[in-house]
Amino acid sequence: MVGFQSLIVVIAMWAGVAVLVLTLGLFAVIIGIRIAQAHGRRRSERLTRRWRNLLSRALVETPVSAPPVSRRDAAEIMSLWGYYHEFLRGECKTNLNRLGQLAGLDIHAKRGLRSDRVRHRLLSIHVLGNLRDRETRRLLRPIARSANPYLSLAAAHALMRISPRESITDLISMIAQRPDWPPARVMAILQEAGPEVVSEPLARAAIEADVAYQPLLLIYMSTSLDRVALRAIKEILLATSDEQVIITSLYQITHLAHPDGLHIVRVFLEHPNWLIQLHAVQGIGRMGNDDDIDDLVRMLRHQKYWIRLRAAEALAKLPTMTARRLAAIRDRQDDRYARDILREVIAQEVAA
Amino acid sequence: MSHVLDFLLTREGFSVRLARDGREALRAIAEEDPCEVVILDVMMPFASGIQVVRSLRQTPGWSDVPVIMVSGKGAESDVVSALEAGASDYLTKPFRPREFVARVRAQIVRSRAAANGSALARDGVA
Repeated sequence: MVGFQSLIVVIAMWAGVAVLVLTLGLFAVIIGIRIAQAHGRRRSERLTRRWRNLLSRALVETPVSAPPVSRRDAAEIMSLWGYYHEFLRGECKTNLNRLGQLAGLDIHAKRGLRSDRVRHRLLSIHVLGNLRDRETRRLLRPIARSANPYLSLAAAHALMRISPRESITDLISMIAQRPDWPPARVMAILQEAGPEVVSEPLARAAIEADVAYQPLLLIYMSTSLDRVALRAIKEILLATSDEQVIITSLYQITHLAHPDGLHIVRVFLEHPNWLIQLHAVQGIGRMGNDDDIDDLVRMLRHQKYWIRLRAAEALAKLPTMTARRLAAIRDRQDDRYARDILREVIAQEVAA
Repeated sequence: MSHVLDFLLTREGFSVRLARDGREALRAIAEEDPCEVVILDVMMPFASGIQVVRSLRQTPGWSDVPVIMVSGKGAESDVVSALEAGASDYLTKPFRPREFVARVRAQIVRSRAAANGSALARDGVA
């Protein structure tokens, strides 16, 4: 009995020792991890500080040398270098690229394209796009056609940065096939390329596109030169009877607010679809003149409230319209709805 | 971005004070002496650049200090709302470093000329 009790005591003692050793071991591991993290943080801060100074100096003087970047630091430096590229423009970018090449960022970026991590691949694509090395286009083209929307869009953007005039046709043909690309990002790429590059290829593509894709391409026409966009929209409107295409076209004409667009918009006041009429009225509200007063007054009697409202607003917005003139038009109306809607708009104008 | 602006301005001989966020900028306006020009980002933590410029325009001593807003938001409405809030100039990102420095200089020259003009008027010199 005594022997059994002493065995329990021995087991308990060893169990206690084991728990103590485990606790101390875990404590040591936690301390080790903390020390390693603090060391890594300090190292990263030193590296960032050093490279910030190098990058900032490169903005004002041509770099002649750069410290080599190790594989371990490549992602951090590429990210910092890319950040400078994103908020600066002009001649300083040439210096940033020279510094990047001296530091071997192009080599790291090409290697990064094969990484398993999407983040590294995205970063590498951005670096290659900013470096504008034409040789890298053969690496980026397959990625631009890949299934991943983030990688493909980033690669398309990089290609546009490297050679905009040569890549724009490809980009536009891809836009129609990629509903997964966020339109705001696509718009930003087109805006960055500039209207001189975008206008003609986009106009051609919009005219020739399938009716299902035309509204999408028409939306991007706000990045084009007004005269080219207007010519293309006119051609599309002459050839189509699709209501969505007509509505998007009228929306774009209104957005462009080019005087030549007024004649096109006026034609659609008589369209049987009231939504199209509504967009036509809005267009006249933006571009119209005294010649449109009779048409707008007629629209004040329309059975749809929204058309009456937009027609009244359009009348109020006409360049020569005054409060007294608007009140006189209201008083001449024998239709109750026309008078009511003008009264509403006049009240809004007074309140504003 | 503040690091780059600091570098560019220090290199041109300016003395630079940095505020890390909107709250720190508001505190500086409330507690410190006015400076010759203020550079503000529109989007800052705790208080936006628009809030800071509005507060600055209502603070005695700071109300005439030129403010240059620097932002990635380049839409017409963003620029208009910043200028209406009291900004003296608006620069959209990406920007050219030399253009930024030139705008800062121009604002300072204009502000000094205005200050000299009002001092002369106060002294009765036509």
